Amino acid sequence: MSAVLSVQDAIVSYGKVKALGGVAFQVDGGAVGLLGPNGAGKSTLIKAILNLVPLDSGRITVMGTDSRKLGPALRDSVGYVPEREGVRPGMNGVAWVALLGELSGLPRRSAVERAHEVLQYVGLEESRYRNVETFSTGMRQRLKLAAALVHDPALLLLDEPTAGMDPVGREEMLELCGDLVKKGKTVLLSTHILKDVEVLCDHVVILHRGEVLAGVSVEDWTRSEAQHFLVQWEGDGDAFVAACTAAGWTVERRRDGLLKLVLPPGEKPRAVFKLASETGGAINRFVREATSLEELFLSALQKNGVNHADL
Amino acid sequence: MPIFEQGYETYEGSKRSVKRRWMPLFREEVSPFFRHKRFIFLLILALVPWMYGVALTFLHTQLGNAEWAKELVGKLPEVNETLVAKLLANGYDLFLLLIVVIWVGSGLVARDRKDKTLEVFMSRALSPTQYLWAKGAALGLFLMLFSLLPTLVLVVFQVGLTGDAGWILAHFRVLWGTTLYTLFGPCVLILFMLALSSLGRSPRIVGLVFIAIVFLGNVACGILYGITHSVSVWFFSVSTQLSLLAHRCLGVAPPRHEAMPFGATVFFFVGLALASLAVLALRFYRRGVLR
Repeated sequence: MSAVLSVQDAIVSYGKVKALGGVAFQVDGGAVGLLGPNGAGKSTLIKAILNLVPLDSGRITVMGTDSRKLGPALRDSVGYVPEREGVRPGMNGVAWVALLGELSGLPRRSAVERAHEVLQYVGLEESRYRNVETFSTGMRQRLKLAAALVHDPALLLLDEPTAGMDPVGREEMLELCGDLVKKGKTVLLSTHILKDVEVLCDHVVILHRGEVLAGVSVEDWTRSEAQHFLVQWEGDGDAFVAACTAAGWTVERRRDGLLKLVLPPGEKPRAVFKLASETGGAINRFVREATSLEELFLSALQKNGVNHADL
Repeated sequence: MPIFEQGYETYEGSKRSVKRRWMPLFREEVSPFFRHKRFIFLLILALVPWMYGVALTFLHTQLGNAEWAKELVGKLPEVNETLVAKLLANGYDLFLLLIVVIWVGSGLVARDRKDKTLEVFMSRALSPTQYLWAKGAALGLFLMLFSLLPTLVLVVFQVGLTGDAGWILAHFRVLWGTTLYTLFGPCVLILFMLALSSLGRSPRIVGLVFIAIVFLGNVACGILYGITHSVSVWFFSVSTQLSLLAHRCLGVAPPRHEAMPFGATVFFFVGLALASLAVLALRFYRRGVLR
């Protein structure tokens, strides 16, 4: 069975500027995060998937079909939430969503009924007859999600769907997206907000300056890179800290009395116990602490020689 | 409690054929104008000269044979190709036609670019050709009110009042000439406006550029004509070319000061159409319009 979405060495240029420089990854289902700072090429990649920007070279397939030959049936199975604007002033919520439903092939009556359904689903049932220009940013984002869902697509391409939303709104939006994933939709979430990816996605693809820096399972990644430990120590703490520092490990004393220990990649945890016995103390508690995606994101950037100042 | 209490439901209903998907977009382009009172008033104003045509038809068919009115009616212009050409090419209607082109046309693509709705439309199962067709048809519908529709009304009145279809056979050129004029004149203007609108993001600026090209161009041609007295300077005047086209299509001699060869008029409209199509093809098929 072919992947829902496959991107193979996609290169896109705007004049002399290379927006995507050979991006490659695959989405088999679930929620995948497209993570990267502003200008990383996330929106361009989504537009390339939809054939809204032409590829210089490479290939993108959506459900096994080349995106350049995206026929009506396939376009009907893709929903798109654009990053900015994307709603027409002068129309009310129902009219706008129903129009997009009709453009996706729904008969007029069904489109209106479906518009009511999806607007209720995204929590806009009370504002559906208001003109869209009166909507707040959060309401617009929900409206765009409703418009993307009106034709019941299998793949959702969400470009910064939580941009400009307050924390509660963001949480609700992610909750909606999570619900859609549970209902079998495949979601490609483009964002620069790490928390959103952590909450929603199973996999993450990190983009920077049009290139993939990393692309892995969020769980595997947080596990494989997890060299962070919380240690409860009994005995001469100073001696243990000094020994750890001498071994080249990073140690940090926390306010709760625990030690935060960071081992370099490849170092085995048993080395900590060995060192403990050598310094004459005892470890009462030794917990592996999952690294936050933010730290991993920064480490991926650093591994590729990207400074924070470049972001 | 989650906000999506109702839960997500899949759509199990039927879907419309791909070929007819431009129609909702066309409807959405047209319907707001019918709610606009000033716009409706403008369209009614445009029909005023045609009411004169209808009145003439009434007088000729109903009173033409009456002894007391025969002499008076005989002095009135006949309803034929010459009258229709004058009605199509009168400056008043051409001015209003260009106003409608600006009013409806300037925002056709530019507004979608400004609101970023163009990429939303293009992400649906709607080809660029269907999108442009929907937009062009919306403008075309209103431009029909300046040529084909009133001509048809005139013909229907003529035949209805006399009960004789002989007039159509005698003046068949009125029908095909007007159709030809509509295809070459207003339709090329639609293409031109679509191309212009695809180049901008602001409907206002697109409208101003059109005004500069059409109205200021006309003024410049008038000044040049005053200096050179050469008919060829009118080549770049859109309204003059429309007037010439109407006269030529209906087989009527154009006013002397506009009388340039018909080939020049055909060249103007064909050139404008090809240039507009080239711009639209480049903008849409190379996706530049989406940036």
